[in-house]
Amino acid sequence: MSNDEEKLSRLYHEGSNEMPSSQLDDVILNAAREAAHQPVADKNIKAKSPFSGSWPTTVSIAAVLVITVILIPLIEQDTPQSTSTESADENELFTGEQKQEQDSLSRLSADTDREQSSMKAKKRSLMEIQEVHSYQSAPVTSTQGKLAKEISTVKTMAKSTMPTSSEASVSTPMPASRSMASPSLHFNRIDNENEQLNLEDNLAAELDSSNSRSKPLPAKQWLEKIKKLIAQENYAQAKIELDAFKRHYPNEEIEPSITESINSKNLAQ
Amino acid sequence: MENEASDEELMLSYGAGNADAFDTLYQRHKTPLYRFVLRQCGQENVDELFQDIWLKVINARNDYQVKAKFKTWLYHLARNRIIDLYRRNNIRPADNHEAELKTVEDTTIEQPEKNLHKQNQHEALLDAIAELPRDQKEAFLLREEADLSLEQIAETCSINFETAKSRLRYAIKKLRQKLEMPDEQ
Repeated sequence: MSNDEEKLSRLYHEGSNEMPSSQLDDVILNAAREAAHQPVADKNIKAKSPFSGSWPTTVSIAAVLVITVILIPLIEQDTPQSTSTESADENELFTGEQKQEQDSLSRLSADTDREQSSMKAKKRSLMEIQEVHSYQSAPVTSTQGKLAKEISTVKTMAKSTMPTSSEASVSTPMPASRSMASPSLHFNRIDNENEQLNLEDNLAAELDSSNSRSKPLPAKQWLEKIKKLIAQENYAQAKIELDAFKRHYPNEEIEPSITESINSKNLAQ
Repeated sequence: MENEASDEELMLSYGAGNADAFDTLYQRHKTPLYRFVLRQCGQENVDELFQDIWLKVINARNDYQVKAKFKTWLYHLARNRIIDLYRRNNIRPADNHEAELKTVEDTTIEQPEKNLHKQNQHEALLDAIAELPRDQKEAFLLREEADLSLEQIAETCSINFETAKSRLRYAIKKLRQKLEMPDEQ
């Protein structure tokens, strides 16, 4: 500090005598005393930590935390199982009638599927046989005879079951293998029967047309073949052959013994 | 014992509920603080501001922490309160606000030549101080009244050391010129 600064400082402090008034002093000091005598509120009163209490509190909180941490994963694991049991309980609420209906419906649908699949397989085999015959120019062969026999058996089976199936549409279904072999065949639905009949008619017509498309035998040889079939007691095939013969040779005379034997046997069947 | 305690200890003691500690603290600082406020704000405002500053100290008793010198903290509070007054009266820091605040009566409008002829040089010095820009006046008063060092002035005014040094140097130079003191060089 230089001399001038000291001089200024001394000059400044020499004449300075301003002071706060005694009243102002009293106001401030009274305010300070009142504030000091007030309970110390704010600083020391703090929210107590849960861990600031005695040790049992701390231990109990820790135990609750540990149990919670252990149980939560277990509860989460059990949750999907409980939902499955709930769904099982809901299933139990179904009445006995509903169960029976469900069972019968499932049985019907299973039988229908089986019949349809068997019919498809049958149709497929017939088509294959027909294709084989369409490539053969020879007249009726042994395989053709088998095909005609099958068609005739199917036709007769369907015709024989028509009245019974219409009478009882909810008759107990038979297994597919048995139903195809047994003559007392029962179909569950009329639609299936009609479809089956239509299918068989179509197949027979196609077979006849394929036979007709192929070059026919001479009339005498054809009649001899029919006689042989009658002699072998293959009346169905003989009838098919006879019908085809009539279509191809409408004016040709047929021995009455042939027609009588075939008609009598078919009527007997 | 309390007379020997530091300002910081007294403030902490007051915060703990010792009212006598505040008395000691108040007696130590009341006069310089009063003059510091008086020189900047005038007689009209000094009592109100002085009371407000000490009430702030009282209210801060529980939150007080010894981060700096108590004196520095006290004058920082005072400075902020004075700045609030300036803002309320729309006075800029560089203004010579004595005319607006009318603290020094008719002497503020007198010319420096007249001051030289005054018998009391002290009054002339007060007139010269009143004519200083606010920042320079503040730095001079902090030095003379609060007895703060340049570092403490810088801390109180939230400025750097060089700025504080510059303000104080300019203030002294102007006062010397107005009092017609010859330069040392």
